[in-house]
Amino acid sequence: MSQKILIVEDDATTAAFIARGLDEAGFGVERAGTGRDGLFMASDAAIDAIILDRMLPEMDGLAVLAAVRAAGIATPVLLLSALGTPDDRLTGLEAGADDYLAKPFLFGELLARLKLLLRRGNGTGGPVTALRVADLEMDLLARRVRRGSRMIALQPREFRLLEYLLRHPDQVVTRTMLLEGVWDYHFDPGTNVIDVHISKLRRKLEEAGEPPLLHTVRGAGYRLGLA
Amino acid sequence: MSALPGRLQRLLAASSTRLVLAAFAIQMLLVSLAMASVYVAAQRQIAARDQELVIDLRDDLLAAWRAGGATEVTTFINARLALSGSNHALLLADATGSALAGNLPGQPAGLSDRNWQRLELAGPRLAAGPYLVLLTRLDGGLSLLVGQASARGDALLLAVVEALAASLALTVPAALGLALLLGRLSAARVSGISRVAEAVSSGDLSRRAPRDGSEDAYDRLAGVINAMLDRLEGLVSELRTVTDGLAHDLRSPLTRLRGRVERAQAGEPDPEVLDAMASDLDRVVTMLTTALQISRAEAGIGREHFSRTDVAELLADTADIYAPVAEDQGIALVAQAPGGLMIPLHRPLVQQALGNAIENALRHAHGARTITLSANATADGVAVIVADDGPGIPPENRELALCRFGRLDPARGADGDLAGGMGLGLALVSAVARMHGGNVELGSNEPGLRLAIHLPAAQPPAASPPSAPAVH
Repeated sequence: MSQKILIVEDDATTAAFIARGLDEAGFGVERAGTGRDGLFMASDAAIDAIILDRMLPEMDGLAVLAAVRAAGIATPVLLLSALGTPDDRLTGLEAGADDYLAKPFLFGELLARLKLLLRRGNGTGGPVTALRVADLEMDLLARRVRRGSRMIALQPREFRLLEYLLRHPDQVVTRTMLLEGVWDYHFDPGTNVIDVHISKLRRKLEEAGEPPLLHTVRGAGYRLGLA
Repeated sequence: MSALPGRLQRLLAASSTRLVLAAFAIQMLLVSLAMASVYVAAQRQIAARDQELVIDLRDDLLAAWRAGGATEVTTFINARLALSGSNHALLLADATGSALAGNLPGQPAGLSDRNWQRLELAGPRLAAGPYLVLLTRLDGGLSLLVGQASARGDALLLAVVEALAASLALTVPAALGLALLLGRLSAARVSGISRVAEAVSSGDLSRRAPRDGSEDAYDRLAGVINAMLDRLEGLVSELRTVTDGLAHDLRSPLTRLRGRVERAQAGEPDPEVLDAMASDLDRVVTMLTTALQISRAEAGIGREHFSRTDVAELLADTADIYAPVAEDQGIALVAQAPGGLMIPLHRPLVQQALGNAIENALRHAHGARTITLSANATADGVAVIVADDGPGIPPENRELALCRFGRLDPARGADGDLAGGMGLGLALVSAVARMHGGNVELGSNEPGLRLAIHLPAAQPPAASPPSAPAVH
């Protein structure tokens, strides 16, 4: 059964653009054009996640969010906003959003973040001491990384980066997700800092003859996994 | 009131006029009170003197009575009347009221039994007029009447009243004139200020209120208003710079984008062209976001998101992000700060400011070997220092480097360099420092650029209301 996403967005073009993308990605989509309708539909238990615009007619997005949370509905909410400053993000998160994305955004970014939210919902439970993707293994206690029988020596920052990737195996993670998730850095640096991090890490993970593990996903980000 | 001519009505309605009139009325009231008390005091003084004279004379007569009875009194009265003329009324009367001695024909009509009384008297040996009269009963049914003409005292009192009236006649117009003059003077000084305000609201931001250096209330008001206008003019000119700068800098990526769209429309879209278009768009968005962020930081929005932060940790994290990029350029990025430097700050913004400073060094410190992030405690907080060993910025250009859209090389950045290269990078650093109540200082690292961000530990003054500008 496909997961169902509620899009609360008053701009029809944006809503249609998101809906088409989600549909292609295999999600079921519900749409609301006003805050009031959105609030009404959010109480539907069949909704798995909500994409909520901040500026809505009739009822502001933050007010909808507050009402949803006050009603005890824990459905993950991704807040969309035209305001891209750190304060708007913090305000959104304080109001109970699970993630925040500034407009304009790449659909790839939205999709990657949405999938992260949906997966976060069904957490693994229990402390994890080892992470693994294909023949790549990370021992979190000994802080050692091995590919097959080969030990890989990583700098602390490379270790943090790889740990984040290993915790999201076979998922697309974007540059901004890495900046936020690994370094708690909420600003898009002008330079290609993440690309350099990734290419350094990739050189250590993939020696000659080994199948590629760390893939670049065009227009979106990176993915750790075989093929 | 409707009958009043419009001008007078306006004059009365003006609060300065009302103030002047009230001051005048109070002044007049005080003057009238003073004059009334002078009048009363003079009247009392005169009456007391008359009474004293009467009592003295009566006492002398009583002494004569005790010495020699009616005969002695008659002698005394005749001697006294010969001496002092007609200003005294004297009478020794028998039980029937007929005169035994004195200059009154008999007991006057209207005489009562009271000791003191005021009577109109007249007689052949007596000046007609009001008299203050003292009646004394003697043994054997005799009575003694002693009177003093009060006409002289009344004349004196009249003179006092006339003097008072004359001085009032001088005082009233003088006080009224003075009050009006003062009112007009203060109105003139206020209208000087209000003319400036009118000029400013009609668009001339360069006008300033005149000052006379007296440091009085009007002069201070003019000073405060001028300071406010200085700040306004600064903000407006900065806003103009931003708008012009943004318009100019957005033009190049947008023009390129327009061209690329046109080419893509003409034929099969080339993935490389699409990538270039995407990064042009990213550039535009980054510029807008950064410009917006600077404005918000300048306005102090976001102070409610301050949190106590370990500065050493912040520096280490930030260095971590940029170290590989620096490494690729052959530059070592080092963070070194003592532990325990905890101050309240806006973590995301300070980190962004640090990032901008590092990117600035990476971009402009040609030939640098090391970029050092360090921090130390200062008297009022923490100084965070980003230092490189590149060519540095000459002192005369340092202020410009911190301005929005301040570019040291006018030719550079025309290709729509990212935020850091647009002159926005260091302006954001400076805005973030000011938001924390601190400042940015550019100096020499001998060699290289030393950028110090001063962050006071005390919270900056009361945050402005966190109302976001409406952006759709």
